[in-house]
Amino acid sequence: MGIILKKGVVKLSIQELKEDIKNKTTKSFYIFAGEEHYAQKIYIKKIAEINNANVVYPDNLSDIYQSLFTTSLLSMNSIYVFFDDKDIISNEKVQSALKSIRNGCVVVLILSKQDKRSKFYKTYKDDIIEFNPMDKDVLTRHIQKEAELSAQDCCALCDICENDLGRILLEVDKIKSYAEAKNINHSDAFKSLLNSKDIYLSPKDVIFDFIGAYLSRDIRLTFDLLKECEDFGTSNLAILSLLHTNIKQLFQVQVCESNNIEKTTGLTQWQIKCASKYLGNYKSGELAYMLKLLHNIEVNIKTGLLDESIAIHDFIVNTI
Amino acid sequence: MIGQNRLHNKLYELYKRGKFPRFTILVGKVGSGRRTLSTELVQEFGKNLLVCEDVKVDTIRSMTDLLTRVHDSVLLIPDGDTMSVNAENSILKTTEEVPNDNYIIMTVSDINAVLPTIRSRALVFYMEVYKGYELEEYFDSKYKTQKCLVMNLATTPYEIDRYMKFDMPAFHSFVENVVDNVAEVSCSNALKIAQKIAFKDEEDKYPLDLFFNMFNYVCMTEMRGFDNAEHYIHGISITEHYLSELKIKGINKALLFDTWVLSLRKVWLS
Repeated sequence: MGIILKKGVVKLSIQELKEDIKNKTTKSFYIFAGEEHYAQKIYIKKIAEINNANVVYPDNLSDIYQSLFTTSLLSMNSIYVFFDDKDIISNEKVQSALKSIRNGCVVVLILSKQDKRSKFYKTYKDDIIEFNPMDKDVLTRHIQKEAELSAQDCCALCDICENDLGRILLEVDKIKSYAEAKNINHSDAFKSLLNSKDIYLSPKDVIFDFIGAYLSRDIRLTFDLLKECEDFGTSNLAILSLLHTNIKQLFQVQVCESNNIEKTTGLTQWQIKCASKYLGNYKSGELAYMLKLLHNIEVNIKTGLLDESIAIHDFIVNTI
Repeated sequence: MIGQNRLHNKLYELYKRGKFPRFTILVGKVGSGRRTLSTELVQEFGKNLLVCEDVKVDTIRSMTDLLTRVHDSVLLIPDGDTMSVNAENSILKTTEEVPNDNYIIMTVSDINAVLPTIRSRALVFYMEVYKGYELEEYFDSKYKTQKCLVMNLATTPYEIDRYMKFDMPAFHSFVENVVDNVAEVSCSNALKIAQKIAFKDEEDKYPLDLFFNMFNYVCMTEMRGFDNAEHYIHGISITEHYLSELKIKGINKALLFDTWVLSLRKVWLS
């Protein structure tokens, strides 16, 4: 959806914006929103091209307000791009003034997030052009225009880059440069970069994998996954809580002498099955010590004696 | 208001003599009547009562701001010990010089959880310990059965209400069973006790603090007819330690309980 303030409010979609650009009849004011920032940049560039204008990123509207309405010999066509500009969002007079800016100028307001309770959103909700992440099919076509990658590789690249066209094109550029330097095809270059972790992989929530690695006593994997948990922003107290639950279950199953584990421990079949995978990796005494240590660590965090950021490391180093 | 007559008279006298502190902290257990006493006093002083609905920093700020615009008022801050450090810092200046000759009363359960800078600005009063006959009076006005057991456990009227939500003989027999068997059964079985304890607000399970209190009571009664009193004294001292840790803000109760079971077994088995 888009907006034409010169000739009254008219709804537009991205398709209509494309047609505007094709017909070289751009409007005076556009509102962009959505996560696909690279596509926004492309459209701003296109609008600038057809208006023979420069793209300017002023700090705020007041810096260039006068030049929007006055023409001088030195005046140049300009596309003014604003990010969440408060003067435009909160001032209705400014919004209506933008209807009559001089020819050759276009104002683009980019909203980083849309506050659905705001008056601005309620007034212009049908006129905001949303740039949402593109479909994988569309992205695959974009990638295949640039590099010789299979549909499967394209799909994997889209997943890695979270369908962000900007990131995808940067990675494609990396693949092409690497392939050229190593004299290999693009597909091999992609795999090689992926293996060497030169293509950035966003951290994922690996808290359960981390717990599994810890209970399996795999030191290297435990620390790798702990780092990934930290990068993802998993709360240390959540990790401590999950460690407690899993260590307790493992301890209960490990020390249970009865044949009817379910009845003796009060655990479910699924919990017993999960705990049974890690039987014997730690001695029962070690597991009991871990529970006490977890409690001490928690008390120390809550009473300010231990910094939360080193608590998990402290626990692992003392127990694994 | 049940009991607290001496404290009530003392505070009232202070006010009559014009010496009632501008900033007062009332220390007492949850349900010991701190809020009721404050409300009653404010009525007797003929002042307006302003109550903080919660102790979030924004609420505290808006209430202290309100205090600068009103006269003849008392600001009541309940459960001040649960305030965040930021919230406590936001009232520092106001407590130093309460505006417009108004008053502030803050109620807390744990005075040590209040910032020393706040403490130093207030006059601290402790709620009186409820006398047996006062609690009995309260019990008789509301309940008919299970008096003997509850009177041995409850220390405030609110605690009486909390205990009376449960079938007391069943609760007592459950804890007796725990005392007798926690060190006898296997460790995996002992940790199963946690399934009967309420770590959040489960109504059908026993709250952890009440469970610990009942555990101590059972240990005391068992101790009387048992030669090896040391066995139970250790149990009580461990439980007291965990009861004090239970006061830490946001503590993981399930983990605390498991550690209590392990500590108790370790001592009782040795």
